[in-house]
Amino acid sequence: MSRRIGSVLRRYLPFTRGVMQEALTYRFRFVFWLLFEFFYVIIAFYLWRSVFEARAAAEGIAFDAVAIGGYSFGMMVLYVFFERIVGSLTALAAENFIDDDIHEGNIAMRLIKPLDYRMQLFAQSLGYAAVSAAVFSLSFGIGLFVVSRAVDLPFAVTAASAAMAAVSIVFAGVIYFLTSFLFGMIIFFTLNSFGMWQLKGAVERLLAGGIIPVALFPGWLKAISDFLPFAQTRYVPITFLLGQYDGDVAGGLAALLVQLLWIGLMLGLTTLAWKGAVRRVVVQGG
Amino acid sequence: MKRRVRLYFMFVAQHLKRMIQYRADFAIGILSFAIIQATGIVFLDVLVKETGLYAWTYYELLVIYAMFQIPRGIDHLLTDNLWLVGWYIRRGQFDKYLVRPMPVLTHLIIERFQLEALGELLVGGVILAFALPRLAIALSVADVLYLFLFILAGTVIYTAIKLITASIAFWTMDSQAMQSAAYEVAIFTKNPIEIYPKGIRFLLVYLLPFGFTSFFPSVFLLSKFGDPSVLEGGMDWILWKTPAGMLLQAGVTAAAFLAAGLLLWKKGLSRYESAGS
Repeated sequence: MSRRIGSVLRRYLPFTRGVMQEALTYRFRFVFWLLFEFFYVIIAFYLWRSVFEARAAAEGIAFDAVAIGGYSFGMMVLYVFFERIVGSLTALAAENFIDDDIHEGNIAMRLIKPLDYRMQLFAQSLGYAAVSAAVFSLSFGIGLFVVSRAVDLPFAVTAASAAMAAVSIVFAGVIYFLTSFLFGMIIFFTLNSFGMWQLKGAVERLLAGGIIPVALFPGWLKAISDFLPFAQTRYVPITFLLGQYDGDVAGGLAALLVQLLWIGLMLGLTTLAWKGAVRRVVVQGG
Repeated sequence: MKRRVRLYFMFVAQHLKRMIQYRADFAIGILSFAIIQATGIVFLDVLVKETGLYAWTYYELLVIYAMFQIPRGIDHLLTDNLWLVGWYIRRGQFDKYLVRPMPVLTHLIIERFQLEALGELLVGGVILAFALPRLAIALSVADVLYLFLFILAGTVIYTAIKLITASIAFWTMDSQAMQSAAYEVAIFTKNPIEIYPKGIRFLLVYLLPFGFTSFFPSVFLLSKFGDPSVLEGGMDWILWKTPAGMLLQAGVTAAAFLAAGLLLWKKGLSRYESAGS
């Protein structure tokens, strides 16, 4: 068994390393990307503050006493930061690589290697995510620390919740990858990427809890979200970090089990989609 | 001039032919831009329907959100090729613009007609059609003219900022990351800008003046001048706090940024060297 793992690592790790090196050559881009991500956090911070102020005024209560869907302002600020941090840790995006492979005609070369295409992409996404996660987690960690000087942040998580959060983040990364791979297969079929990508990005952002926490979703949106894997890739790990399962280990384990079921389902779907796509592949150029 | 107009329509016609060929792709593109812009409404719908934000009711916030889409959409429709300047330079494809009997920038811009922007315009139009009848607004002919000029200034501001950041590629070969960062500052103005601290408002009025693309036109459209929180908050950096003064500042800002963009473009173009091959 350990020899098998060793051989898998030996075969796929070079893909991870290659992408990491490439990502590091474009350090400059990361700076702007980081800036970009901070815009969202700054806007979210002030927007939520104004929403909580408006609620306080409307209900005639103190700012600190306002709770929206169980979230106090401090919790909401934590949520905004965790959403970015967990998002950067779990975003094992494959579609960029698939898109390059198709548009540059490399796909043929990839297919003739005696390696599993899905695993190659997983290794590559992992490399990219490792670099971006290091950059973003660190930056947002610092950001969170700075904000905690000004706003009272109710961060307290039990050891059990922290451990379950770690497992949940790993599961979330796998689900994210499989979703992204499945989406890449759709690109195979349509050969149109830009619009579809943007669409996936927007739907994902909304359903993963990037605009408002899933707990605040109106009924119709919650119903859609339950049938899609996006909330599993970001929102679920955050609930552990916000202490939703403190003292409720059974509830936490049930949430992890749901994530595992999603992994199983997505593994099945991506295998099927891959089998369908590989028969229809159109090699452009090359 | 007549020749330019004729040429422009020839280019547009080419695009429409392409669109007919790839109908599904274009439909998906338009739809996705519409959905992207529509997801943001969920926030307003869930959180501020009853309370509003500061001086703004829910429907008024929808108007700001819709106004945000319109200059952005028009600019997106017309000048999308500015995103690709660095890419063309790196690939050595920029040379073709230099040998055509047309100014380089003109050719670059009319070459691409980005119909996906209809998605943004559609969302803007639909939200306005939904929100405006629910607000008591009576527009005179002069008001409509003002609004038109505000939208024009807002569109020019978008184009100018894209042009400035695109021109930097002549020096650095690649400026897209910087271009995206500058362009996306605009999203601050999907919301009333009085929710931000004074420093951010300064940025949105003088440095990357996207405030003029959505917020100030909405202040005008909804006659929010009488509201002290708008006057002292959102409008604190506006020099003359009247409709005419605000429009004047919008116009001057748009003209100044466009002039800076054209100047930088000219300077960059004069030092352009082909990427070989």
